[in-house]
Amino acid sequence: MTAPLDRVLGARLPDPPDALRRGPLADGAFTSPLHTERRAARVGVWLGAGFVVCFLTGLVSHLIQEPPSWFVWPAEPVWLYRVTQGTHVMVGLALIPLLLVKLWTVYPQLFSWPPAATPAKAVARVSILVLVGSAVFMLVTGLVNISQWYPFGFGFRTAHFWTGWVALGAVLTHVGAYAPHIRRGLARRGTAASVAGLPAEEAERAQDETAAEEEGAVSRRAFVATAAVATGAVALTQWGQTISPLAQVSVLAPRIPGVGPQGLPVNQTAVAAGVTDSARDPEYRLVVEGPTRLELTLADLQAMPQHTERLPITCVEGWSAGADWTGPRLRDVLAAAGHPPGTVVHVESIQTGGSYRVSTVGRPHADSDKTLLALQVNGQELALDHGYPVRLIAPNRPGAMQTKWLGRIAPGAAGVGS
Amino acid sequence: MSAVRAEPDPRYRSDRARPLRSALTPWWRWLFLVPGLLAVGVGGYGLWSSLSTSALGSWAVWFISGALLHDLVIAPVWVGLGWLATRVLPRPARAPVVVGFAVSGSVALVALPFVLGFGGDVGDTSFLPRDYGVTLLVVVGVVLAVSAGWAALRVQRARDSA
Repeated sequence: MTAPLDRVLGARLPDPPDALRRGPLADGAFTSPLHTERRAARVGVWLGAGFVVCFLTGLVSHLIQEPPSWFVWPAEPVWLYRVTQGTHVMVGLALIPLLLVKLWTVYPQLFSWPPAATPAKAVARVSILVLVGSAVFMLVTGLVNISQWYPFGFGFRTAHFWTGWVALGAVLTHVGAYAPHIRRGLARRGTAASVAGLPAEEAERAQDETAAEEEGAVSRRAFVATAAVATGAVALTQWGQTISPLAQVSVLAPRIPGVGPQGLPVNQTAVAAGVTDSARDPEYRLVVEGPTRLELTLADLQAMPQHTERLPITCVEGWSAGADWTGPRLRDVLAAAGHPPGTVVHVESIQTGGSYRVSTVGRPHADSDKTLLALQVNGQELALDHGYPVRLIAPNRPGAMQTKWLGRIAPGAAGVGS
Repeated sequence: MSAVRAEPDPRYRSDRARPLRSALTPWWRWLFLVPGLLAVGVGGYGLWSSLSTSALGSWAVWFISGALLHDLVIAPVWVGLGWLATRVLPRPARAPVVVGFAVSGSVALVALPFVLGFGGDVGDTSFLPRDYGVTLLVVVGVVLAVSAGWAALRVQRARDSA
């Protein structure tokens, strides 16, 4: 950095009067020997890695729903989105206890004295607000969203996505800014690297601190056990909505994979979508726009060659459940309407309420053998809540894009949503 | 540090503070700082350009209150419990009790929105299929009972060996 900038940022600011230094601001107010650089660095590695995983899997989900021209999401393997989105939600849930552990470790820093010795220090402290604010924001909005409660004055998807960039950026910046501390914190205790760059007296103090971590009433081992067991407990009580063998263990998860109409969970109900009458209307037709415009009754669809595929419903909220779906292939229906193979189409629901009325079916999915206009699930006619009379079911795709109560199929992309 | 005090390493003749400086400013920090600041910029610009003014206001409220909720509520409660523990509990009992409270607190915090159950579509029986309030009480009860048992065992052992 240039010298004039150094002079400005490094200028010593006047200290506030010492009389204000009370309570948590007092020297030695926090007595646990575990508020150390080493604990912060080591919890931070797990936390940071978790945020990177959540960012990448979240990015994938976002790109699938709003694909730019260069992005193609494949139809195979059918379980891929199940893995990426399940991971996104599972890791996000597990980060809640880890973030709390990390924030506890560094909590005394909030009361460091003087509050800001230099302008550079003041900037650094504000940047910590961005880090903590964005990290808490991501975990809280994600959790509240999977409880299907939207008390926000902003759109969840937009805010969670862009704040995710802020959170990831803040984590990376934090690692860069604290690089020397992290390097020391991750080095084996007692080695030269664990005190690298510290003046002799501080190095000695750091080594004393490290020794004291072992001796406290709550020792370093108890601290590690607490972080691991708390994270594991959240995982055990929640992850069963994604990993079905855990379903009966995860007694606090919002979903059970086998529970719902026809043994399958539902996100949007027929009542909320306002289709309870229109879906049962004898005048119901599925319109397929194209060179040969089709108006298909349920009987017409049933008369087409039927195929059965085992495909998961994978909710963006992290749960997923497999089922056997039966119906004509979308590909065959599009061919009957005169479309060449691989035509990009969008499907529209007859719903008047709720959300996700429209979704776009990209080339890989439009062309896939496994993409069905499902009339049956697990050998039974679709329940109204599963999209009777006909729904789209395609491999490797978010549940919000498996449009229910289909009314119209037309060529061209139309995004996803209303 | 010995390198600084001892005869200068010939590799660092041009800059004697070099080993110290490299420890304080490792080169790889730029691999994090540059993409990190860029990503914050991307996110900030995205929020600015895609949220309306009122949505941005609400976003700011959630952003700040998340941090405040931790700093002014969750952390002080936890620190207060710790303070209480140092006064009430014998030393060997503290670690098991900390684990018990941390586990039940984390589990409860994550389950809280499901216990409240404000969300979900009308008539969706597959969403929140359990009685979350009772289940949470049972889970917390079991966890605290186990940690209390473990604490009692440790106290007993410490007495026996004393």
